Amino acid sequence: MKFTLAKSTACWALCVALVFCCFNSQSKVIPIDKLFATPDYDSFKISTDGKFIAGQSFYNNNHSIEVLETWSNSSQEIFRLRGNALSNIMDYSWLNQNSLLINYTNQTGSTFFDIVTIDVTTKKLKDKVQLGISGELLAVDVENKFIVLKEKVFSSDKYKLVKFEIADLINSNTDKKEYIDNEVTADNFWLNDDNQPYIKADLDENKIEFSIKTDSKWQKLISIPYGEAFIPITKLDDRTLAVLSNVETDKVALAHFDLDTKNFGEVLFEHEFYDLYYASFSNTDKDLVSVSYEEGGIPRTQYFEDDSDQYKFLDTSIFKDKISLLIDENLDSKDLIIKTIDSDDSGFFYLANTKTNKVMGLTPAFIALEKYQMSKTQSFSFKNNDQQLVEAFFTPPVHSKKSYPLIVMPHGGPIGVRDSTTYDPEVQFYASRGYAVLKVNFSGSSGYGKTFRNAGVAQFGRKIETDIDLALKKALEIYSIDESKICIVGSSYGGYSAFISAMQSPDTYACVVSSFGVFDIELIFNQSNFEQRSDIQQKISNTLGNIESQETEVFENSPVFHTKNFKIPSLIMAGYLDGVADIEHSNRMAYLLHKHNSPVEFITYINEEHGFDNPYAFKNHLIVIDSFLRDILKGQSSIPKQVIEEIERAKLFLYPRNVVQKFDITLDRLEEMTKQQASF
Amino acid sequence: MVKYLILFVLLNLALCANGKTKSSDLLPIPSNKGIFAIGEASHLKIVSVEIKHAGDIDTLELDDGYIYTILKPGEYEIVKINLSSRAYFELDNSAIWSFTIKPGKLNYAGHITIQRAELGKFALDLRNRASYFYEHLESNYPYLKSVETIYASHFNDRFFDYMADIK
Repeated sequence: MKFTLAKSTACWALCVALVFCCFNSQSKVIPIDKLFATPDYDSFKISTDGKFIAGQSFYNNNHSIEVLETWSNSSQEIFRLRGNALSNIMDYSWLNQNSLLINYTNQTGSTFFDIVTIDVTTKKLKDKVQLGISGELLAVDVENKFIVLKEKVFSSDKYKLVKFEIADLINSNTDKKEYIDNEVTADNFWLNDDNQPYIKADLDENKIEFSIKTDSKWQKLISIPYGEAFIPITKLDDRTLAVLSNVETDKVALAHFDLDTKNFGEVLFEHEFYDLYYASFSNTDKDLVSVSYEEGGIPRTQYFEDDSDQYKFLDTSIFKDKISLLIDENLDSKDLIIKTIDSDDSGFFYLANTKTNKVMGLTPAFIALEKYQMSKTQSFSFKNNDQQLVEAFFTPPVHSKKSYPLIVMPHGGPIGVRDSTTYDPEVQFYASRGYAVLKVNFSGSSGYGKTFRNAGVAQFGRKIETDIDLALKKALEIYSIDESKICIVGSSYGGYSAFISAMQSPDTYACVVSSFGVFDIELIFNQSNFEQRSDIQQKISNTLGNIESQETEVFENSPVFHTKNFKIPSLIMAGYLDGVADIEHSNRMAYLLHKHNSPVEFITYINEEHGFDNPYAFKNHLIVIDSFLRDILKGQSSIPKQVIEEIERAKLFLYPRNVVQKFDITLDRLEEMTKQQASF
Repeated sequence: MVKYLILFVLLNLALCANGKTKSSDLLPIPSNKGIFAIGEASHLKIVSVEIKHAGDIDTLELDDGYIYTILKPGEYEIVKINLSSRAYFELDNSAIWSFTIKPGKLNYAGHITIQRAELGKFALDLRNRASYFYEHLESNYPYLKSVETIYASHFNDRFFDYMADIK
């Protein structure tokens, strides 16, 4: 699908709406509950005859499916599910012109499929049936009137494929299920254009094995280790598969794979800098249509044929400079559902027609966020000390003054993880509270090829942090950052990086915040008796390198051993049940900092693992971080009312039922901040 | 994270726990013996731990989440973790559940953790919680600070050397 940008003919009504929207943006702190909410609208899908649109919504604490006539503006709720921590609509799909299959998890966590049928005259619910089937919906073949589900095999981690006739489902006749290739199980299946499985993947501890179905038999295709890519795209002819792979190239490239010799063939497209994550071919003559990659943190699709006339509506200002995602389409009616997103846009759904170029705004994804101003992320790049291209992303605060405080935010991983510039509520949380945010795709990040990714292996405290430091220096040249107000904030590897960066450049950072961090590299190898197993030692070595050959580096790059003279204020947050960075890392770090009289706050979330499962705990940690940064960087005066309200709420969460506060500092500080504010 | 999964066994057996050592009995350390310390970090309360050395099995009781006791030097293996007189976990992987006692030293073996897993199973491991151990030691046994503390696991942990250096 070609989405190019140019001039053109926007829907007038929508332009008015957009201008109105911009003028009404509020220069206010965005409430945390609005930023981290379930979207009001998650997706839209067009019925098979193009006459209706179904939308997944969340309203008044109910997950719903709404239906509206195409190009009309009033909808009817036809399915409702009471919201709680477990319930959700997982997927839904039109089966025909008026019946929808809905896959959902109810309030107890059990998964169901319902079929709802609407009365095409009244547009109201006509019938609703719960089906006794389970699995993941892989395909709905409207033309041949069947669906394919991926069903878990009992007492196994593997799956089988199941086929149901749509007519049987509508009549609740679920006994007539048909296993596709009855004896064949796998972890994943790829379906061909006829919705029949033609490739499967089986995962074991060290590798992924791909097989292909030839003459009704499954034959081994290739085995690849984790970390390498082999993504089947389509079968081009009887002996050639198009795949995205980096087995024989540095970048994930589009290549031929010979099904007879089981060897890679011609490379169709390899980008100079970026890994591909998607490619498409025409269904009819199997011509290459497009490849997709992330450039400057933005998803880009490069097309190989010019059909810009077909999508003229994309030339309008509504879509200009936005990322336009195709959500659904009806080939007969030429209607499309498009979602625009951007770093400063949480998403807006549009209905468009490729024949008439008519565009209608459906709804924002997050209605409550429309009135708030957000900040647009900018990308820049530089060459690191190895002359490799490194990309970094800078988001200024919403209310930019002459110079502003900066949060440097290294990502986790560090290997095979990356940052992007698409909408990130956490970045907007900080930007709306007056901080700029800097993210860096340092050596080891994914998306830039194997050489770049491997350049981060065993670089704890070394090349990775050098890249971050170079990015910061570059950002200081370009942007109006107050150099006396820079803090570094990170989670997991980012939490480690935050401390080691501050230890290596103590004059740069005013404070450090680490969540779920690693602080003693040797402890990763010895954090439990099971780490003695050679397979586990090998897995850790793949990221950290061999510990025995780098004893000095391990000591030098472990923050716990550099706490003695560390005087930068720090906030450490951890999950007591963390199985990745054991709680001992954070406790050891906080214990030694406290022993050396370094100002440290330490909060353990007692029910959390490596990251937040409980949304209340997650929001609490962000509010505490903001309060900590505010205290260090801005002082306690003139705190916005919204922030004070959030701090008041955070105080209620910081009790032994939820957290352990090691040195009883955080709650006292929050009390002080709210008390001082009350006296203003 | 690979976990060691074992079935939770309920049996009507009485425990013969007899290994409780008074803290005042720890010093001076008898010649050619060492102090053994182990903690628990579990939602399930561990009552006692059975350890095997040279074919003999000793049952050691926990007090305030820890065992501090005097042991002969050598290789030991944790063979059983008792939750009550009726409930226990039997461990059968001696290589994974072993530790070494060195004479004249305070030998910390780790913290036993028990977490619920799927299908009525539990995940047990012996985790390195050295900083929690030092905190407990400083609060409850300050007089043991004079004893050289080492990690009784087969791993090295430089944190113990660092703690000795900053004493």
